[in-house]
Amino acid sequence: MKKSKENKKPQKKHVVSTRLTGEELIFFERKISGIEGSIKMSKSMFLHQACTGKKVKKVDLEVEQYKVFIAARLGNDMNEIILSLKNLELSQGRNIETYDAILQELKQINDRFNQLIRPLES
Amino acid sequence: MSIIRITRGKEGIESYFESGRKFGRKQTRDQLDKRVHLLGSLDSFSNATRFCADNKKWLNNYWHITVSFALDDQEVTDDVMREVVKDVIGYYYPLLIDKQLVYAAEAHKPKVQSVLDESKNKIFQRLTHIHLAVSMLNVETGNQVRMLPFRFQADKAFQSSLALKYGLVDPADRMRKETYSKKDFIGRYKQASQLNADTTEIGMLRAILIDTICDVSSEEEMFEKLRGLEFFENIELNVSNPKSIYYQIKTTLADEKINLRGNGFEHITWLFCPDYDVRTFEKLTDDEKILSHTQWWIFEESKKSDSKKLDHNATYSRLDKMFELSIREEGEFVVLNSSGINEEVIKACGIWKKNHSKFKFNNDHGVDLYNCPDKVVLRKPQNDAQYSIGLALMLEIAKIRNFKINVAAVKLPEDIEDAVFDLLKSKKVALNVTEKPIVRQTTVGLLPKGSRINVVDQYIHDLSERQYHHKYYEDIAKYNAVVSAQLILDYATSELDLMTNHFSVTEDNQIVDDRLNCRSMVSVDFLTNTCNLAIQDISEIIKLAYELQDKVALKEEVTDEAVVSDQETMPRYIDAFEKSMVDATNLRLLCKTMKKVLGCKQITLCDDGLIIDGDLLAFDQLKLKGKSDLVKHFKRNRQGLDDGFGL
Repeated sequence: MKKSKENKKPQKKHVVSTRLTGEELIFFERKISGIEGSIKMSKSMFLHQACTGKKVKKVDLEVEQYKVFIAARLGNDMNEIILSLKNLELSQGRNIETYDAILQELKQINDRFNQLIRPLES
Repeated sequence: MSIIRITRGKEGIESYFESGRKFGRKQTRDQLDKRVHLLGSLDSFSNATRFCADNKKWLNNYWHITVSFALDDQEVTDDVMREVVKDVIGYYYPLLIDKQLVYAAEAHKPKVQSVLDESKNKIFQRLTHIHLAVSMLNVETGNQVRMLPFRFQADKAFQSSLALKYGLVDPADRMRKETYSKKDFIGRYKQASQLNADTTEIGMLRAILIDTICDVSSEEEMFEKLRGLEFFENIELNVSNPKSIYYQIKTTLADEKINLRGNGFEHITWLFCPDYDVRTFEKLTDDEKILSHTQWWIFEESKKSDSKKLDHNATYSRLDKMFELSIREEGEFVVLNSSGINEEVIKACGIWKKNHSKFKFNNDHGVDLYNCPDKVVLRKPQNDAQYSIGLALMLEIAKIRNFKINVAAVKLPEDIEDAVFDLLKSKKVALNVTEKPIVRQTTVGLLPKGSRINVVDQYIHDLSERQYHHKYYEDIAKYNAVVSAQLILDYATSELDLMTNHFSVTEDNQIVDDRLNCRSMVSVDFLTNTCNLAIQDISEIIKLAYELQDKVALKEEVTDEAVVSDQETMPRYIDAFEKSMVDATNLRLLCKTMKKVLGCKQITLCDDGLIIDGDLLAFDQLKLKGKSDLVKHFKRNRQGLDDGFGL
């Protein structure tokens, strides 16, 4: 698809330079590093985003993927536990108190976990 | 049985499950349907979708599969629906196991029974359906999940096999006479959008082509229909890319060729699929079609190299090392919520504080206080003075936020209790100290309205419904036997948009739906199975109907009493008339005497008899043939009488 003149990327012709102290540089580098210390984005990109009023968010992809994996596993496990509880409910001689206690505990675990994986806004 | 529709989406399915919000629809999900969680987890699914939206640049993030049931199958059980969902996942994702997929399945059983199709101005019956949302993220590899490609014959066979397996109505036996597309479905809520001014020439031609070949079943038929178009020039098969073969049309109106693929042309792709011999495939049985299509897909996928699995164990050990200290870090916190104040130990408190920094309450006392949406949390200070200030602040916040807290029941540390109350008094904060302890409203057993439901909530809800039914069964049965089914039908018509023309009440007080072979049901069954109301709601409705019925019966009794009173007064009137007639020489004297005897205010003569204070004393009761008889009687006594004499 041909790009029209209006859609062309605006050229960044102007250069802004600044000097930092050693402490400031360390502070700045910490901002653009991941949790384990490796640089995640360029200094130029960070400054550009900061100047244009954008929010820079650190995302550890591996951690995020792990969270999704664990959440999915918990979802599946909960379904299996409830299925087992249903079978237990059908069988005779179950201890009602223990059964109810397990159910309440499960509800708490599930609610807490779901609260953890939900974004703060909710 | 079930008709399966599959669409794809980027975001928003979770909120649709919860709120039911849709273009042109005013009602919420809880007003419209009874939600039943079937399988999977909506929280996990939402998490996966959010991850895809943030980190993957995919066009779509999930599949939305809907399975709807015929009117005859509206009483399908939740367990059968769960099995249907399992089968649907097994068929469309044959290469994947449960652990790789993230999905959520919910059944929506209609409470509101009908919907107005605005495009056709016709009312439609709403039916039970399943929503299955499957994330495109494979959680083990981090890659996109691939679904079994659409093949009309195989999918049709799968739907029929499902119907056969679970004893449901086969959609192949109930084909619609008119084609019905997604566009028509959306048009129910709003007139189908017309081509707007921005539509290009090619777009307009594509729209005409879609309309022309929407129902073709063979290539020959398609060619024939296309040749009938005025602007048609020629058609050719584009085979330049063996992975993407499609037809192109050259028209007399546009320079560019029109590709017969993409939106609106999906159904014609299978007509010339190069890997299949369509005619041979059509001769196969349903099971063979399903097997053949699935095996073909598995074979195609096996040619590709296996995706590398993510090493989640390595991630775990890395995180474990990194956060070892933070995770072990514990802190003592004081939590105030609607149930009171409790001390809690929060593990990994550093991480917790970081996550809740948004809710931190700024104050000049150096107290760590968090004003969270559902609670107020205080990091327990070492200093007693700060502790009392923190607690006082907490109580103040609770007061402002209208937390219903019984201060008398709040257990404050004895040594600083006075200090806290002194602080509160000095700040002129008046807290409502209630005499009776507030009973915490239990939410156990009630599904959260308008929010996410999960497997545990659903199970607890089902259990409580069963317990309620068991406990109040006799009560409900007692009311059910005496409550008029017509009243229940009236309620369903006014509140749940029931299509009344299909329902009637039998002599033995049962409700009959003429679309279901006149199967009759008692009021409770009707409200449970047809209207899908919760047993608690049904109990209330039945009781209300019973009370209403009582009131109506009372009114009828009052009318009966009026008839009885009539029977008592009439002999008195007749007696008075006979006595007055002895001395009366004309009608005026007759009425005057009668007024005296009866003590009434007004007596009027009319064609049917005498009206005494609004009560009619008919000529029949006086053994007279009519007004003329009375006139003759007085004439015989040489007295005149004016017709309609005002008395």
